[in-house]
Amino acid sequence: MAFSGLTRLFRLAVRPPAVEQDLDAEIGFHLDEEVRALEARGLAPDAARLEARRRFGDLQRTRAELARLDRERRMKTRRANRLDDFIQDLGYALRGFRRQPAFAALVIGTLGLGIGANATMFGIVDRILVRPPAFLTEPGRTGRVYLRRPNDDGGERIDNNISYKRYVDLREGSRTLAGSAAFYDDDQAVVGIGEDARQRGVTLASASYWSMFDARPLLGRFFSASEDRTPNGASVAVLGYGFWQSGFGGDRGVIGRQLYIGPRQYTIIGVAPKGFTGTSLRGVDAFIPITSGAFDAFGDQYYPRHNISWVEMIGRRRPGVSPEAVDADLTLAFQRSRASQTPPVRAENIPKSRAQVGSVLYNRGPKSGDEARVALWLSGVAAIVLLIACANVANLLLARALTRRREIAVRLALGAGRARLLRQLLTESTLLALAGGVAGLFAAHFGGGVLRQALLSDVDWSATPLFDGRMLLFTAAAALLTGVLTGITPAWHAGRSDLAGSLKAGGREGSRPRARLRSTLLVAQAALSVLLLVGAGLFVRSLRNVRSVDLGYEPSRLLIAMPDFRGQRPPPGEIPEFTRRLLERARGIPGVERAALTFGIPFWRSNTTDIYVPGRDSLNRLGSFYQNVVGEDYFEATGTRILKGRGLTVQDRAGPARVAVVSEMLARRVWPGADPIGKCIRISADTVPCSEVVGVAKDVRWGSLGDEDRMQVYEPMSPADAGTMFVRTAGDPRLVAEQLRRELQRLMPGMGFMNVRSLDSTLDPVLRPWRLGATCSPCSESWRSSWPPWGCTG
Amino acid sequence: MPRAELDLLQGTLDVLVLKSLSWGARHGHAVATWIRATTEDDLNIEDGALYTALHRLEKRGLIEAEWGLSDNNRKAKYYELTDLGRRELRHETDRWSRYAGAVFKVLRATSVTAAR
Repeated sequence: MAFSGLTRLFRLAVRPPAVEQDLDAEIGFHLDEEVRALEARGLAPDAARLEARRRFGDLQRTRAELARLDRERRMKTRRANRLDDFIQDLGYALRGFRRQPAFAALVIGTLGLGIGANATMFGIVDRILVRPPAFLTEPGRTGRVYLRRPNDDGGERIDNNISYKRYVDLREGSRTLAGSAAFYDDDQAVVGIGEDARQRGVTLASASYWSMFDARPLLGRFFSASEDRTPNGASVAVLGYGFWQSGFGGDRGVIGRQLYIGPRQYTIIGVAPKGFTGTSLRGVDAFIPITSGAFDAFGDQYYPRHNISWVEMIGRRRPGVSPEAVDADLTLAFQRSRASQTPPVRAENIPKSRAQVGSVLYNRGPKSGDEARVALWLSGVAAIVLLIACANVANLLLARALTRRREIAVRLALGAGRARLLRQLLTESTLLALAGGVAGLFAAHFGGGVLRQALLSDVDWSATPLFDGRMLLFTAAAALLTGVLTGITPAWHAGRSDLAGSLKAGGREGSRPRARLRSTLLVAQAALSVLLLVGAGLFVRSLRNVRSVDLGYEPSRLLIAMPDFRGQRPPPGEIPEFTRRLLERARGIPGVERAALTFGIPFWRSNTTDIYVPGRDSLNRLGSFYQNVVGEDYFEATGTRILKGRGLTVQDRAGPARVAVVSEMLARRVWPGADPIGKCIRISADTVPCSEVVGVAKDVRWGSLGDEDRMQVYEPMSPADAGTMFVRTAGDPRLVAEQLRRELQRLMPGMGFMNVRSLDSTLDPVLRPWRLGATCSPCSESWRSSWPPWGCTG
Repeated sequence: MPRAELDLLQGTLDVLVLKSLSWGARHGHAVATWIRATTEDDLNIEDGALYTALHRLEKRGLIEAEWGLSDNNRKAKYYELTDLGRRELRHETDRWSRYAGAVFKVLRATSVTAAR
């Protein structure tokens, strides 16, 4: 029975006398009677007593046996009584709801929405913060490797992306790992050719990756160590289940077929089981050997060098080894690796370099993102909403109890125990809450899918059904708790009410303590609402802050066009002509204002470099320097203002004189108080010729929203660089995007792929959690008009 | 010939107790006295075993107990048959009669009828 724990509490006080007491009375009576009877037949008192005892047999054993029987009987009747009571309460409650269906529907709807919101958030938090990746073996001993090292500006930098070489050093230099793997989740790999080409999620994985999971290929096989070798791995690919279904119709004859991924043709050797996404939360369409993908991306430079950081590493502790021992062991390997690397690391930084194995879930690691924070915040909102719903319903129940005051008094007068009455009221509220739980599941079913898409559209939900055991358990627990919360106040109050007064007063309402209780509930409700509003207000404000951040360029007017040659790069001699045609075609499209070549892409791609300035030592102590190579018209196209001097022109690109534009922050730090224009700056090495600083550009935020003090230097693009370009549009860039893609695609040689996206869509994942958090809060702009009493002052 | 002291099966004792209550409520001592008198003490039943049977029957819901006053004005626990108990008594009486009858037929047989 659902309430056994609860009712026991109330029964303690009225427990009948112990069975032993009854037994002693009964046996005592028997022996006395027997002695009397025997004495009447002429026995002496002592002899009579002895005979009576003899006739009874073993007194102690019998007494123990009787006690056992009686206890069992009492338990049985108690159970039966409780079941009877419960069924009676249930019928009573149901009759009540049938009499007032509108009331029941209102309460169930209110609780349903509250519980549904909580069930949905539980599902989301469970997926991104709690549940280990599907198929992962020994999740308790497996973790993601993070490297910490001192920053140039005295802080600490935490990396989950490391170089392939570093991964090899850590793998070979540690002794406490039972297994480890390198991987990279590329969610924008170009898969297929021609019209079918799409950007898809492709995971580049070391062969050891498969040994970290307890997964078997659905078809074919996974790749092996002999296919994952430096410098260049084999051209074999394993399909993800989803892509196998959607792209190949689940064809079992898919093994052996060819598939273009990036510039290369891969042979399909297997299909991963349903729901397998490795360590990624997102869906993965294909898995390829990491050495194959890396070779295509970086040539043969990726494996001997320490400075191309992109790989992520997971490792599994040996059984019996403590996490601290693994961290110490990996730290040592990391320090040895840093000591041996070229160019050399400053010696004093090496002892401060540390390795750490964090949760395998990225969102629980040291670099956890906004998604996790927003999910937790929304869970808090959901919980508060449920509390408000509880207070609301408690109030409704209390109001209803008023009309039933006389009835309750009559029942008390007829001898119903107060505990029994309490139970009856709790049964009623719990029944309502359970119905609310069912309604909540419906709400979660319809609303949950929408919320999942909105909050975490790129997460692969295929392996996590909307409802699973944990979620149902959670919902049931939430509903029961809700039932107790909403029922306890009216029940407690009913139990305390003045019996005689109620009987005499009949239906009269509004005694003083009851009014106090109701206003307490109202105050609690108002307090919670204010809490929610304040939180939402803060949220809207941070969203507004995020939105109003001046990035130094205008994402709302920009498209990025990126040619992907997929291995069929035009010969170097043809590239200048090719880029010229691309630019020309782009500039000719109606709605396009300007187009300019660039290497860097905000929040995606940038280069660090070293700079040298005559008369200044160790400039790298000032922080990292970033470099972008850009075409003419770049500053006009992006909207990055030139504060001093000039931007870069076609003449700079072709001409013999080396020139550069620097960012405001760089100018201020490198030449404090002096005019940077005309100064000499050597970029990348101190042996290269001087570049003359011809302009100072406004600072840009490029790597992250908090990237305030980025020191950036711009160089004119050499004619041989084939180009990614910024395209500035007159209006909404999304209106022009498709036409631009079509036009430029025509210029692409061979199976090349032209990728066009709006800069806003690049920024979207950065802003999305904030946007969603604000939308889901009652104070968002869309809700503002329908929220008259307080208004929002975010 | 010394009287054979029958070792009573539990079930038998239960029937005897049920029977003893078939004329109305009785307390344990009255039940014991009645059985002893009726069987002329042929069945050597310990009073303790009788009480065990009473409580067992109460647990099974065949009899009900209530505290009352005895003839000499003492507090005593009275047992009474329930409807269930009455049905059980009828059923058991029937079964016992047939069983005992069958055994008697065998024991009282005077000649062997040859199989045809």
